[in-house]
Amino acid sequence: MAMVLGPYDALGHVFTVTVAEDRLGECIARTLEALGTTCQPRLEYSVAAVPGPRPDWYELRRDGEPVMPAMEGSLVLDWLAWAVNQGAIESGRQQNLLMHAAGVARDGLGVVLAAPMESGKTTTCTGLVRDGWSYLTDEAVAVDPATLRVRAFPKALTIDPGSQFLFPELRPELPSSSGQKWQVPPHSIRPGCVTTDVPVGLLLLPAYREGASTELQPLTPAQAVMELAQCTFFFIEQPERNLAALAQLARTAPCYRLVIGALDEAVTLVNELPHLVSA
Amino acid sequence: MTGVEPTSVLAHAPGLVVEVLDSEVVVWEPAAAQLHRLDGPAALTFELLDGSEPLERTAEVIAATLDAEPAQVRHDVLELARQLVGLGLVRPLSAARTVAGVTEGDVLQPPQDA
Repeated sequence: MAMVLGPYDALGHVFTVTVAEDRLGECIARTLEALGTTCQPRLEYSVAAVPGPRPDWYELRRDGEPVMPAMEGSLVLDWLAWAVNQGAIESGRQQNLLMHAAGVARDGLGVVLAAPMESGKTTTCTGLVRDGWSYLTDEAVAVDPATLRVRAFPKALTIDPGSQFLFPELRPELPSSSGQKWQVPPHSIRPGCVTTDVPVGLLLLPAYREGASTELQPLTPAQAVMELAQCTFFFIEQPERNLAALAQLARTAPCYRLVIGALDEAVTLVNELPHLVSA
Repeated sequence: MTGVEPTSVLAHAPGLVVEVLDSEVVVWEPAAAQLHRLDGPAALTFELLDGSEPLERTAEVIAATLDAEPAQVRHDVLELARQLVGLGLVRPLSAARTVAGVTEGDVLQPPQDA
């Protein structure tokens, strides 16, 4: 008996997930819970067992079309998360300045952590949420170019193997092979941590450097724009709109490069920043 | 060869998207699909290259603004202008058009229907 999960909203990418296997279904439901919506779904992902080299062999489909070749059960969450991210980016970029960034908030003001992969975005974001900050996203910050407010995309946080030792309490229940990412529902970090849309109060560019001193380096607004543009998905598609929005963000929110040598030091530094004072 | 001389009149290339942020400028150059950041005197020079004055006059304004040695500023502005032309951020206007106070963009405007 298949169960239909959802609908879920990922920046306007509204979908359901149909899955036949109870345990996997419960795990997917927990992982996607924070994306729950009452909007009308536009497409369906389905996860179904198929014959393969192992008993737990599944196929992930999107509206009936295979997303990936069949895979073992422990990889289904990763590939579903990947497919949802792609859909969110495709959907969200139409109306928003969309940056490859994590986002957290405190006292109604958002902090954008923008950086390329492997820079410490999700790790810093997870540490801040654990420390009491609200969660917006760990993958794609969508900023309305008219209002400069961040639209929440509270997907499960994807914690890479190299950072998992920092969050042993977040190990997922679904068995996973070593060297695999963790898909961590935000409520697992702290219940009630997901927030809705907020204005941007601070721009951070995390840069993990092993052995470095953790510090904040101020950037000029123009330097911030150059860095943020590199993190903007499909900047070139709407350069005038995107540049104007980035410039306005950089005029209104201070920007720092956050050099991270240790997570706890980074969290302390961000906690002590005086900029998040609501106007 | 950019053909940029002290008497040249330069203006921003068409289609640029320019954002002024404090004393710096960020420019989107669509032909090369590139962003450029200009700071300090380079930002000031770029902003002044609006097709209204020859480079030598721009250099005088910058020298006065920065209280700098005029001959050195003339040299630096000329070099910078050549770089900006090379990057496609500014382009020389023809003397005839600028003397008449008409830019190429004006010349190329189609006639308005009555």
